[in-house]
Amino acid sequence: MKFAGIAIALVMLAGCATEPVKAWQRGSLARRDMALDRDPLGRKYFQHLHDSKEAANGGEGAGGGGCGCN
Amino acid sequence: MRGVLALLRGLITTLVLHVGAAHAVAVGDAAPTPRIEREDATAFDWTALSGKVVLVDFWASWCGPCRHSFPALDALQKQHAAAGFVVLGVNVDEQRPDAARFLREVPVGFSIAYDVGGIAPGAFGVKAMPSSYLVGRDGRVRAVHLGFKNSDVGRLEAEIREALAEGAE
Repeated sequence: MKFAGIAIALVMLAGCATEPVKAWQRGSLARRDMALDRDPLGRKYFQHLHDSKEAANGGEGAGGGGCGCN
Repeated sequence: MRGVLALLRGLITTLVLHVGAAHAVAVGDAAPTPRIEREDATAFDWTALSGKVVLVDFWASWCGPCRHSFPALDALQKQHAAAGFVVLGVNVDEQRPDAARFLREVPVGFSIAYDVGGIAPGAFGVKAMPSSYLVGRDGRVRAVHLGFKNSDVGRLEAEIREALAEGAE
């Protein structure tokens, strides 16, 4: 019973071993409807307006898009 | 206890195999010849390329730089085909129609083959899209290019010329 518990726990450990998405598996991620931000230019424009009204900028969002390119 | 040990051994073997699969092809390695398919789903015959200088280029329809690389690669193959240079574009799209649409938009004259289930990019250890591997006449990798910029073409062409000259004597 104890061993069965250990065995099951070990097998379930495999679930923690997530491999990162490979370079050639990004087809679905590259789809437009998968983008976090579908209108980057529009977002920048509104951010600019927001910055000017706040009289301060920066601090919005985080760097990097998860594409592994920076 | 014995069962647990066997299980542990299995897990460790799996882990080691995974590490092995992550090995990327480097300059000087023998180029792998994984199973890839022609458009009609028959196996691509790698032996047909033996003795030639081959640029194995991994591409996908969703890959932006591939759109720029294709005309350049097509021109390179046209220019050096007589000397024994071949471009092989290995498509890694999950949906074959996506690849077909891309090829209608960016038509090329070089050979196109299709990966099945990530075997080919896995065998080469593709790290970026597009990735291209210049394979010499001896079947060894001479250069690895990750990504594509138009400014890469000069260097690539120099490498192709060098590879062609080396096996020609």
